[in-house]
Amino acid sequence: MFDLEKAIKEWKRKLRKNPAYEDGDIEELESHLRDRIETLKAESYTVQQAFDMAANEVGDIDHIGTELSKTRIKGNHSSTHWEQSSGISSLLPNYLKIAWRNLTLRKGYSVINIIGLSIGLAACILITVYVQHEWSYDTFHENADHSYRVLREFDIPDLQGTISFTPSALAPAVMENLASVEKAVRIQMDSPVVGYGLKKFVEPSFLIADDGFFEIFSFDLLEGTAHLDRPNTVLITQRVVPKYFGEENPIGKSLLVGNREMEITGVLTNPPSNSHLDFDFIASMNTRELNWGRNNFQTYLLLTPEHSLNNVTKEIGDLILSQSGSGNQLAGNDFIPHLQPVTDIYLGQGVSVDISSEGNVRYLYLFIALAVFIVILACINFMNLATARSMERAREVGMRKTLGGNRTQIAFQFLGESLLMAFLASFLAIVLNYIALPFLNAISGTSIVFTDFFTFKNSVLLISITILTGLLAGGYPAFILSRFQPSQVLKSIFSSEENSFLRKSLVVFQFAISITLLAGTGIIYKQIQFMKNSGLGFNPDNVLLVKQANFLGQNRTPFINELSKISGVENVTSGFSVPGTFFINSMWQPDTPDADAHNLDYSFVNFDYIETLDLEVIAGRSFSRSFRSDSFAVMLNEAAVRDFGWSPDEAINHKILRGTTEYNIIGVLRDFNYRSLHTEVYPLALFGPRQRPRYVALRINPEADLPRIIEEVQTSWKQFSSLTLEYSFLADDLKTQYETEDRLIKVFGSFSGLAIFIGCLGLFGLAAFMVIQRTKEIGIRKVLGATTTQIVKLVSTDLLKLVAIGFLIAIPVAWVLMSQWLESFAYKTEISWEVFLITGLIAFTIALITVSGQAVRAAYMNPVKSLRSE
Amino acid sequence: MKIMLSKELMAASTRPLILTILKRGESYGYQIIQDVKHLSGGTLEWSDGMLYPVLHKLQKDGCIQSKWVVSEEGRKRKYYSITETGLEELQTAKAQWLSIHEVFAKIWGPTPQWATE
Repeated sequence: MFDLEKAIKEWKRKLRKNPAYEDGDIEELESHLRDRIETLKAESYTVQQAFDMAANEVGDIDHIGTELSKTRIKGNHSSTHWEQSSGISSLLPNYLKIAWRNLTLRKGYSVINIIGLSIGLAACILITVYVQHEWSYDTFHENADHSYRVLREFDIPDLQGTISFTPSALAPAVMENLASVEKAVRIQMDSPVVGYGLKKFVEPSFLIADDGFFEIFSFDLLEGTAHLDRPNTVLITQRVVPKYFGEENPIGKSLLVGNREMEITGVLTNPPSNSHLDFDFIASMNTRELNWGRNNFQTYLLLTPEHSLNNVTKEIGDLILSQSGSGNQLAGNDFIPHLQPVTDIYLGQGVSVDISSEGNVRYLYLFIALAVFIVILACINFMNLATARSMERAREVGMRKTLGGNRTQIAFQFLGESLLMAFLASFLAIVLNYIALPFLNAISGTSIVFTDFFTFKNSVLLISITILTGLLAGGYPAFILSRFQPSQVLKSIFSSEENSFLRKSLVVFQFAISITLLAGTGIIYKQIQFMKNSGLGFNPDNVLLVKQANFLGQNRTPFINELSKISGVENVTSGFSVPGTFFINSMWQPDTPDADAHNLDYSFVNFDYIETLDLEVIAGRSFSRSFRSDSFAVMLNEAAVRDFGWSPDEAINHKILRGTTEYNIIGVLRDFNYRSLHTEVYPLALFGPRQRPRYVALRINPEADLPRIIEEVQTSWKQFSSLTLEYSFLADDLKTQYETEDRLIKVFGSFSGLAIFIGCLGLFGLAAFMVIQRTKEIGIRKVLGATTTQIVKLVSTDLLKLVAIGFLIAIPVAWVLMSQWLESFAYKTEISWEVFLITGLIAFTIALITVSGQAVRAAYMNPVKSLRSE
Repeated sequence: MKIMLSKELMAASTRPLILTILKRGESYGYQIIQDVKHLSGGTLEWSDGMLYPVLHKLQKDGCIQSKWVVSEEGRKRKYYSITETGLEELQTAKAQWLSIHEVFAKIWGPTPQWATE
């Protein structure tokens, strides 16, 4: 007899074996089973039949178990297998493999692409680091954000300007009277003779500073103590130690500075290249002099953190006004104080007389613009080559699309490839930078180290530029390629007209920029040549200068006498200034009643000065030994005479005076460019021999034996001085006035070279692509009898047309930009058509060389092969 | 001709079907299956046991709730009833199914030859 209960128990045991079933589930199913059996029994089935049917209808218990357990898994999604694996991630290995195969399949393209981009990136990084260096001046001082320098602006009739020189009494007075000034420090520049034992050198980087210097400036001490509170102590930098002491320890030793013994109390590390103060010695301030009249000091202030700049400036102004009685002859307009943040000193504009070399913000912006241009060029190049190659990869795209790849996936693939190349390029760029850094330091006089490249900021910058370049460069091809219709691509009926127009305009743009840069370089070169070679109003050739003549003291005249005996020396003279060096500047009063004072550059010169420099006297006479009164005589230039309102002839026998001292005008000189050609000739007065001369100048017969003369000068110098003879040629010295321009042309030249190179890479790629596209056409032409020359011409003309269009665009752009640049010179060259002609020739030649390689390759292709290939 | 529904269509329609039945009043597993069979005239055929995982899933999603009830004959049955969430889901499902129905009715209705193609 069938036992229903036993059968149900047995059935339940089977359920229990499956862990998916929990107690409630089994009970629920049991209840279901019993209900069904009841129903079936009512339909007159036997108990056994009813059980079998009911159990059967419940279904496969394992399957039900699986479904039950699914309901218990948290976050269960009823997704199917193929959906989960359709993500981009599973295709990544395939993409990488394809990317690598593509890189290696067309090695030439890959190399061009990566090198082009890496050069662009390298240039960009290099410029970034350089610009950062220029902007980082004096930021390393701990208190840089509340340290200032006092500038003196004056605005009196005929004379406006801002200088950094302030009176010695200012700093102590400010510190005593103003609560928001924590520290005020005076710094004076000197260039004394420094001696230790038998060694003697002129030291041009010698500072004299108040104690408190190191509270404003953070220069590191290597040894000893950094205090300047005792008189006659000096700190020296690491780099001068070997010059004087060799291996000896300098601490505690005494240096002879001028005629004063100074004890060395400490050794400092060399000042970093981004410090506006460049020094080898810092001596303690010796002077007790508190004076409002003489402006020989730089005044630096350390303000309290909660200072108000406007208030402090106003308080200093009031303080100066309150002092106007005490020896300060100058009225309020003569000293309008300005506080210049220490970090602004280097790039600060508008200070007419300053202590340190100045950076130029405008050039920094120019460099940044160049960096951006170069990266854009490299990027365009990359895009160009990538789109050109896209034609070859159209089939791959078609195949991927047919097999279910969607647009996003294909775009991702191409973006990924360009990112991969961008990263390869940026790695290469770092290597290039490592190689290029010494050249940068040499050109710009910086001392940037390679590790400066890898600050957090720079790393982020490099990575972002790389990613951005990769995305930009890959973006266009990714967009275009993914748009291809598979059916058309696979049937090879798609048009590349639209692409090739874009590609051509990119090449035009590239060459427009390159040619603009090249023309700019040409014009800068022309201007430099113009400045170096144009008539200066005197003859600087064959003039030998002996420097440091002020240290000769009483021996000066005997030394000059010795020199004049040397054969081949035509003239010898001496003077406080020579063209290209410092001239003093002051107000001078004419002797006409009620006339205004005028501002003049002036200096003191000895007899024969006019003759030695070959200056032209247009009225009156030159200084002469036969007039005893000539030490109170003065010669003016045309500009000065004009300022005073005289004609050259009228000027003779007038006087100019300062205070009660009068000077007779004995002659008028033709204007000559004693300053650089950046500025116009300024009114000048040359006084007779009164001040100690700093230079001795010799005019040498051009036929004479120069080495012998220099040797004889050396011998005479040794008789009278223990210093090393320092000499140079005036013509060479004058050329150094154009250092900024020399530097600019190097930078401009390198960049236009780079731009042309990158442009040529693009052109090369385009040419190669065109040849591939026109393989069949060229083959047919050859079969029909075209000569090699004709084929070369066919391929080249199209591309050279693009260069020509670029050239036409570049001419007006370069013209406008360079005219603006030339505006900053008082004496300027003309922008002539030769510059553009030469530039155009250079660009065309380079472009022709680039293209002709491909063209010749096309011309020599075997038509049988090219026509058979498909 | 007896129309068998595809597996996917079955899976998609089960939930709203159960919810519809429960909307009329609480019920237990066996009864629900009987109702389904009755209502569909046998179009919807599944193994009885497969109902339970669906019920459990619905309960887990908060669409229905359950309680054990001992009947007069002393039999234990698990009764299910619809919740607010369940009502909402049903409404959404209804709207969706009706809109699909409408689409098919529109494209197949006036031109019967399409349907027989």
